[in-house]
Amino acid sequence: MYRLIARLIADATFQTVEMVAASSLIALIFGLPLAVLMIATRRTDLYDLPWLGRPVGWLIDAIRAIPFIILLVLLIPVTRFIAGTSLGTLAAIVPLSIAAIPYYARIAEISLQEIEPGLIEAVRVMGGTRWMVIRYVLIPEALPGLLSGLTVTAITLVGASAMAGAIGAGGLGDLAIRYGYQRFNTAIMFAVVAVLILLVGLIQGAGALAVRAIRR
Amino acid sequence: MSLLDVSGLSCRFGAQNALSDISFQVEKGEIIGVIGSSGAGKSTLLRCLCALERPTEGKILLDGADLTLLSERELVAARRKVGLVFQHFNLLNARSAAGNIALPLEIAGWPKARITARVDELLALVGLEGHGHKRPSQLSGGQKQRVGIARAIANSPSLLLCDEATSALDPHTTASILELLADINRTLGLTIILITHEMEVVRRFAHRVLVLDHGALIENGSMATLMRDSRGDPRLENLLADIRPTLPEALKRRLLPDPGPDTRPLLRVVLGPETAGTPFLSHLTTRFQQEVTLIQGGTLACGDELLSDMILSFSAPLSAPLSIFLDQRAHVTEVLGYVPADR
Repeated sequence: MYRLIARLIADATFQTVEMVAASSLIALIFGLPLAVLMIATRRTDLYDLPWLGRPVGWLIDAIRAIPFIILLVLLIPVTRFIAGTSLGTLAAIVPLSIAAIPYYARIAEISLQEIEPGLIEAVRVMGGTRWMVIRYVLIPEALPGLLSGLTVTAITLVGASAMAGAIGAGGLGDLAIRYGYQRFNTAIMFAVVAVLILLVGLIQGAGALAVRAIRR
Repeated sequence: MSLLDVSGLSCRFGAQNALSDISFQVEKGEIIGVIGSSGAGKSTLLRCLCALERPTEGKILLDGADLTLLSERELVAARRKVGLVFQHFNLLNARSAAGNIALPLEIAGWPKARITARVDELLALVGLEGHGHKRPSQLSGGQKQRVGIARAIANSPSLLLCDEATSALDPHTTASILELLADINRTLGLTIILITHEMEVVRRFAHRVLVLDHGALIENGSMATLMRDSRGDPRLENLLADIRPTLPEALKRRLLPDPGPDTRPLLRVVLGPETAGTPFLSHLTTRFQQEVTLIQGGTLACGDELLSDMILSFSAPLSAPLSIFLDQRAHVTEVLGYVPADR
């Protein structure tokens, strides 16, 4: 019996980690360039093309306004197109990523916004191009904030992935709801919550360590 | 041909005239001080000189190339000829001191090996050997500014602009940074333009002073002549008030506008660079039997010249020959008033 429960929890943990890791990575890959785009087009000392970045901001806000469980259902055709199926862990990565990209883009935007204009000016005066400003100033100077933001995003995804059970993705949250809550199995519920707390603690700890490593 | 030739430079932001019709030249190897109160147009002038701002009118010829006519792409190259030192250092926190100095070289596309050698050379030049691995957060203000200077001259610019480079530093550090800049000027022959609101910095350091007021260039000459000739111009007197001797409060309260039966005259005497180094006070005693007390002031070094600016108290009313002597020797003789001679 306990062995069975342990097996269930181990599988669910793996599914959660898989979903969170994959969608965090995708959020980073797509969210960061979007954040850079929004900042670089807005700043008058960089590209100064506000009409280009503003619609991106609207789109991001629109996606963030949709409750995740609705997004999950709305995106089923998209998921089927990208993942080939609309059910399972792999399929859940699609809506999770699409929710995570705008979330991370806004968080990254905040970090990039904090960069002092003087640093950008310094590189411009050295004869640096705008692209060099992004490469030498914006990204490296904001890196601690960008990393902390990724940690926050990953932890939010741990919570969001619980809802992905609705499309058969499995995972810890789904386990807690189906076995713990719906079948009144309190033992499983507490066990799963304990694992979730541990998982979130691990992500937070790893993020903090990484930030400290680059700050030195 | 001058290194820098600015002519008819005007810069307008909407209806506001930030700079109007500014013309001046800078020769190679000069140290120029640009001074003015806040809002005088110093920052705008600086931004025009490093091609961050395009002026509304006028020409800026640097090494013969007109910065106002270049395209954005050409400007990127032209800016590499100008080094800029910032008030708040503007160092990248994610990079070490050496990394910060290397940045302009990386931008200019130098190969790695040459960058390392050049950075070591620059660290030694600014007196930061062994500090190259430190982050800006581990350096003191003076050390940060040394990194800022090394970074600004890394690419061997022909012009070094300093934007209030010492305004965030304490007096001792200010002196050491100015010494470093003077040293760089002497050894590398680098032309320096120092933009500041601190008259003291300009006095000690600049060969020539440009005074900006409400966007106009109102003075262009040596510090000593500026101090000598500024009488009566309230704009200049305001700026010079910092380094001018002023009457102590206690005396000011006892000051009478007219001579009385037993009063001593108080005079402000300014000796220009021609006479500042010659005996003066002793003459007053030996030739005119005056006991003269120096109340405030003395002789100042202004760039390479000397200037005396003193407030003197005389033991007796001024005789006609004494007045003639003062007129001949001193540039400015101003009777400030009379104090009762009881003490």
